[in-house]
Amino acid sequence: MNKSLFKTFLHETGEISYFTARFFREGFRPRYEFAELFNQCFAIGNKTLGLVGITGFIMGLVITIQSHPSMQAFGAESWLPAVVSVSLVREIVPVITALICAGKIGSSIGAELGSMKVTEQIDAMEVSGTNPFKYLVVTRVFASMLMIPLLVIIADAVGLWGAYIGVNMKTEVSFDLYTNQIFQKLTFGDVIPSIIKSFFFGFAIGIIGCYKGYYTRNGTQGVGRAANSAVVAATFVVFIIDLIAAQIADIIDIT
Amino acid sequence: MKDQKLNKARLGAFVLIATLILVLGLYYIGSQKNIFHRTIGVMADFSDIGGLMPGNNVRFNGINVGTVSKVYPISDALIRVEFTVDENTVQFIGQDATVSIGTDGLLGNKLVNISPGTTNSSRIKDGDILTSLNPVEMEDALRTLNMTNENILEITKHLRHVMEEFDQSNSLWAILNDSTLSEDVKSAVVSFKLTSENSAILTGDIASITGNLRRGQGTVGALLTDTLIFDQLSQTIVNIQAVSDTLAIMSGDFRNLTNDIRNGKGAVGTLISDTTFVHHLNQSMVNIDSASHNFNENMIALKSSWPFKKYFKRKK
Repeated sequence: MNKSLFKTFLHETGEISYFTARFFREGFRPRYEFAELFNQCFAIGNKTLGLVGITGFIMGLVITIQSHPSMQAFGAESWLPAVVSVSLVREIVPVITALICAGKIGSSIGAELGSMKVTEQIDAMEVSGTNPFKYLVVTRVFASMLMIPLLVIIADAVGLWGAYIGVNMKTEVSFDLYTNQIFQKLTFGDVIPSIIKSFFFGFAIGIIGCYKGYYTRNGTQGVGRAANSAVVAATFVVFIIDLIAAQIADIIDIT
Repeated sequence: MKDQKLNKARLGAFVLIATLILVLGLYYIGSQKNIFHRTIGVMADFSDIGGLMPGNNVRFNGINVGTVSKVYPISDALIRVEFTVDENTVQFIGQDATVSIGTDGLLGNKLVNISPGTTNSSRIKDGDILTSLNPVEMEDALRTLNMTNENILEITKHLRHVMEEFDQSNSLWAILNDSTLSEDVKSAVVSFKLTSENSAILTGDIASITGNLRRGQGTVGALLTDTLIFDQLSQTIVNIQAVSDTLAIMSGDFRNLTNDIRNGKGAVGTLISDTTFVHHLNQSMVNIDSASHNFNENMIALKSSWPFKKYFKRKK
């Protein structure tokens, strides 16, 4: 049983690797499906914006409120904006945004491609001469790669605004002082790695969603399973990438 | 198709806003780190930099003017710190400026502090090595502080003892509570003031007198200053001495004379000491008296006698 599970894991990893290689092969070769890319960008970017914005705002507010008592105990209340902004920008906002997107985008891509697969629409595309991989997979993966970093940036801004409100619930800090404090503390080493990291989050979410959908089997039951496993795998991979990114940032000493 | 266009516009807005936020954010971070200002690079050598890292702030009189760019050892005892300084600030920093390593707050990041040099020294330029002050070691400072605390403890102990003694002393409280005492003190102060005023006047007078004396005015002044008087005075004293010598001789003679008189030598001695002579003298005096009485009668008789009667008649 265990042996077969391990075998399945290896098989799955190999399949995903092959799928990724195919993505790069097909992705950077004409012809480019720009119209579909825009559609997917809109579906992923704009339609997730509200959700991500609200989540970011709540995270900023909550982290500030939760950090306040311990900062106060150290007598370091004035450091609250700096500390909260660093933890938001470096870690919390990218990961939370990626998780939200893994849930929303991963599942929708998995379910969409899965149902196309089981209703044999993908096969029909191939017959009609359209490259289904280019049209369906490449556009979605690129869209998710491009949109998630932008969502992270927006969520950063909204989260910092939430933190500003959180700080002002407990103490009184002017907006000028608050922005000075956070930009004084933040460095390029905080912002740029988190943006680069979110590209990889987007790529992982897109590629896993597409893979799970593209290889759906067993009819409509399989569609549900594809959507579900896309979310689970994408969430898991987001954390793996986060771990690797933190290690790399530590090794090359980006602080 | 219309929907498609609207969606594209929305997507465009989303992408633009997100990109704008990123660019602005990075710009603000960069401007805080003085990345977009023209800077010059200077350095300083320290024996211990206490954990200073590239990226730490450089402050000039408390404002951020740059960042630490490099930290590396140049010998077994020296660490070189290279840092940037905003070009706009360079005009205020002389070449004799001193650089020290400090901390932002008690627990904050390390930073480099620049204190301006003298105004007449030339300005710093790219590549200069500035004078460094080595950082105060927290441990040393705390050790000193510990000793200070012990001393303060000892002092406050003594102070407490003194205060307790004060508190227990009834006479002190009586003095403090006595209102007449304060009046007395007040009047004493008034008297003292008056006295001191008088003594001030007196000393003024004395000063003027001594001034007069010094200038030779008045009798005493003349005495003290006129050298001629001194000569005369000494001459007088010599004379007095001669007179007294003569007097001594005279008194010696007088003593011999009185001795002779007492011993009945000479006429006066005989007169004083010889009693028979005195008797004879008395008898002689009686004789003289009767003789003169007789002579008186003779004379009256003579007046009424002839050659002299006429003279006396004419005289009447």
